This record gives sequence, structure tokens and C-alpha cells, in this order.
Amino acid sequence: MQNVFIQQETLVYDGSFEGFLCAVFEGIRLHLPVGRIQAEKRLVPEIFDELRAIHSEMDQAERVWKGIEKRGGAAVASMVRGAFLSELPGIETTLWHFLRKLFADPTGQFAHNMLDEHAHAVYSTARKVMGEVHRFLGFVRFQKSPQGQMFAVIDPAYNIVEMLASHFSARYPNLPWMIADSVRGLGIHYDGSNVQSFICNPRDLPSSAGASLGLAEASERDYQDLWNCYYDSINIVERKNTRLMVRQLPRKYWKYLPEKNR
Amino acid sequence: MNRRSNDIARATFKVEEVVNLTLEFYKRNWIEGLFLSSGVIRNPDYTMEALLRVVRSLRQEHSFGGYIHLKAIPGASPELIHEAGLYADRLSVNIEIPSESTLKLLAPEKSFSSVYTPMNSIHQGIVANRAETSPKRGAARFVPAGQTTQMIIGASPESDLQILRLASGLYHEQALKRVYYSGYIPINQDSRLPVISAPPLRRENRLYQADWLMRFYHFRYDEIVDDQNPHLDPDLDPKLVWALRHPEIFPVDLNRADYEMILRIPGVGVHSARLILQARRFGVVRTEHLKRMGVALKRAKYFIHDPSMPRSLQTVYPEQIRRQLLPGVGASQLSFFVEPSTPLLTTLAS
Repeated sequence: MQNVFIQQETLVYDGSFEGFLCAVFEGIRLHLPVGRIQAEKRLVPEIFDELRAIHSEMDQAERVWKGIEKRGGAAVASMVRGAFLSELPGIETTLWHFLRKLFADPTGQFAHNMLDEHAHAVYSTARKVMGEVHRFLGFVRFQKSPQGQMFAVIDPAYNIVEMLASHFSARYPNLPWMIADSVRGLGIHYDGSNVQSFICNPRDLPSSAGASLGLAEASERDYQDLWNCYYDSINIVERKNTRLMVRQLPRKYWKYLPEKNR
Repeated sequence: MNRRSNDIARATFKVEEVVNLTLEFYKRNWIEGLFLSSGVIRNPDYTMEALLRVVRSLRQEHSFGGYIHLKAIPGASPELIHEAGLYADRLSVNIEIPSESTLKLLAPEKSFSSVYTPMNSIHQGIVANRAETSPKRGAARFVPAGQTTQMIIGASPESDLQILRLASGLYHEQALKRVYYSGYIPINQDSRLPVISAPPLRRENRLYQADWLMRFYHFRYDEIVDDQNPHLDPDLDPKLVWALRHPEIFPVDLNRADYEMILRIPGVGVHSARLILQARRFGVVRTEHLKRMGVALKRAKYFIHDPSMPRSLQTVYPEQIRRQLLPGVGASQLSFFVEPSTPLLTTLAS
């Protein structure tokens, strides 16, 4: 009897979004029986795994990205990117199935098919990531360092720090600032005209993200006191509703609030 | 009688203090912007002028790009209010009490006309501004985020019908962006004010739910409350109450009904209604899809047509559903299922 079992392959890429797009490129170009796509640093080998290393080529990544934009539109492309930044286990494989189906649909409407498990998974993951981006637009709390630099340290669940760049460069066009992700050791820096990303050692950052004043200038304490005073005077004790408060502002974000860290 | 007769300490800020605090808080991303209000100091024009100096300084001297919500002081000159509208994103004048007769009783120096005059002039300013400015960037926009108002709930005897009728009028006539309903909290004693133990937060919540139905779910106020039911039901949300009053139009077939009808199903929100419309172009939408679209099946299941069952078998019985969905019912059912399993667990452990 003919053996119809095809050995599935695990594509291993360098962890970058471009690297992932190259894995998609190779998978489609070579008609690979893709079982999983995994980042090198998160690779969990399984027995009988057939591994294939993917080399990142910028022009291949570019072609796939253009292809997504052309087939699904800019909104679908940014949804793919958003879901990728969740870094959830298995999201690359879900995205692979999603992209295969998207490219197979000449109308490009597949991305809106909420009845399909992959389309829905990509959509809802991207929504979670964008929700966190939205919350961090409010929870990035800047402090002034003794050198006069505004800096903030955050520890988001998803890799969203680069998605904060456009908002804050538009918000403070004349003020240099930096935001560091203390979980991943990544950050972005704005010098007054351009945003650049950087890599840092999480151990060089203040021990905890949030409102603590590890590296801040002395006058920061005064502003926090003024803020707390303001908070206390606008607070209406009779209207306290902790359940509603926690729903709108989960406890894991409280460390960013000066009024909760006195 | 209003806060004027209130004997509490008041603080007055200097213009520079407000400006500096706003800028420093904004720089740290603690605030999105400034909400600036004031009690009347000396006279309305003097107060409005002080507020204006703050926003002018923020916008012109410091090119502050954050959000500004400013109170228009009733009685201030229209020119001052108009200039404030060029710097602020949003202006508001508070109605305070939802009927003029009670307003007259509680605050004799205020009247509906002292509220409606600035409100109407802001509305006209917005209409004129939108007509003349091109959508080009940088064109001066008058009150770009529109105007709002607030009324106090529970300090006076108005019914929810009166309150929602007033709100509906404000949305249609004055094109307000929001009406805020603020449960009354006593801050001073007076025989004309009611004595209450706790602020009416439940009622406030129901009014906001009704408000959402008017603004996002295409409900008219008189569909939510009418002369037979002048008050909102404290136990169930107004959308569910409406559905229970209209069993004849349910269950709704998700695969055929139009957007308006899907939007009226209790437990289906604006977002999930859109997802349902999008999804049914690709196939049949079933109950298992609804959960992951964010539909609250706990309520929705009673009102959705199940394609696997003949329509004649699917009748909506309002009384039965009402009993199922009253608060507390779900919790007692849960404990009924949990208890029998406890001895089983102990047997396993021993």
C-alpha cells in the first residue's frame, strides 16, 4: 500500500515580523507541508519534528507584505501585524492558515469571514493587541530623569511598544522622550524629529514598571503630590464603585497610577 | 438655593497656576486634557473672561494640543462664549434640574432660558462654522467636539419619561453630543431637597442605558418609556424590557433580519450586530458563532430564531423570560449544581 502520510515541517524563523513573512514566502514558493511556524527563541522541539531554518530576506518579506495589502487592503495588513505582535504561542501557524486562505480568495473578502476559525482567531487576537495599545496610550506615564529626559517604563503583555510611536511623537512634537519595555528589553526613542527603536538590557531599567520613582529627578515627587492632591479633591466617596472601576481599569495597570502608589 | 449658599471653603487658582499644572500633567501623560469650570466669581463675564485667559494662554502661548472641555458660564456675553469655543474642543452648559418648575423652586436665579440661550447660540455657532469652514487642515473650528450638558437625577420629582423626553429633545434640537445624568448627592441641608440615604446610582445607570439606546440603537424615547410605564425598570435593562413588551416580533432570524432588527435583540451590541451582518455573507450564522462574536447569549438566546426548529415551536413567553433573567436567579441555580459535587470530591480526596 502506498504511504500517503506526508511529514509536516516546522519552519523556524528569526523572531522578527520580516522573518515570519519570509517563512510564509518559502512555504508558498516550495509548496511546503507546513505544520508549524515558530520563532527560533521560542522553539519547543517535538519528536519527529522536521525542522527547516528560514533566512530573512528583506525583499521576500516586502513581497509578502505587499501581497497582503493588495489582496486584503491596508486594514487587513495591519490586522495581521497586530496579531503577530501578540507573540501568543501558535499565532504564526494560525496566521499561516489565514494567509493561505486569504491568498486563495481572489476577492480578498476572506478576512471578514467570521465563521472561519482562522479568520476569527486573527481578528480577535489583533483586537486584543489593539486594545492593549489603546490602554497603554493612557498608561505610559513619563517621568523626568535628572538629565531632563522624559522616560517611561512599561511591561505590556504583548509586544506593542513600537505601536505607541506615532501617537506620542504627534502628542509631544518638541519634547524628546523614550519608552522602554522592561519585559522584552525593547524601546523607542524620540529625539524631537525621528523615532528610533533600541534594544536594552531589562536589568538596566528600574526594577518595576509604573509610577515608582527609581531614576527620576527630585521635583517629580512634588508633581506626584500635586496630582494626588488633585485626585483626592475630585474624588466623590459616595460614588465609589470598585467593580466598575476594576472592569474599566484592571488591577494590573494600577502600578502606573501615582494615586495608587503613594 | 444652590452651591452659592453652600458654606464650604473655596479655592481660586491663578491663570498661570492652572496653565502650568495642565502642561506638567499633560507632559507626564497623566491627563488627556483639561476640564475647566468655575463657580461665578463677581459676575458671569468676569468669570468667563478668567476661563478664557487660561485656554487662550494654553493654545496660543504654549501650543497645547490636548483636549479642552470648558463650561460656558450662564449669563456671560455671547462674544466671550464664542471666543472660548474657538480654543476649546467642547463646551457645556448644565441644565441641572430636568424641569423648569422645579428649577425655579430650587434655584430662583436660574431659569431654562438662562441655560437654553447659550446652548442655542453655541449650536448655531457650530452649524454656521461647519457650513463655512472647508475640511482643510488648520481651518479654525468652533467647538469641534460639540456641546454637552448635565442634569441632576433624584433631587426633584421628575419621572424617567420626563427626563428622557428632555434628553431626546436636546439630542434632536440642540444636537448635543452627550447628556450626562448625575445621581443626586446631598451636599447641603434644605427643606426643599429630599433626604436620601444613598445616591440613586441604579437609576442613573438605567438612564444611561436608555440614553445609549437612543444614541446607538435607533430607539425613540417613547419606545423606552411611555405614559403607562413612566419609569425605567430597576431590575432589568431597558432594552430587555422593550423586547419583553414586544414578544410578537421575536424570535428574530439572524440570517435574514435587517441591521435595525438585529440591533434590537437583547444581548446583541452594535459591534456584534455588525459582525453578524458581515459573517452571514459567507454562510449560515449559528449559535456557536455568536458566543465568540461577543453576543451575551444569556439574554439573546430567548430572542433568536433557531433554524433547526420549526418556527411554530418558538414562541417568546415574556413572563417566563423575565423570571429567568431577574437578578439573583442565575446565582441560585449555580449553587444548586455545585453542591452535589462536593461530597464526591471529598470521597476522592480521602
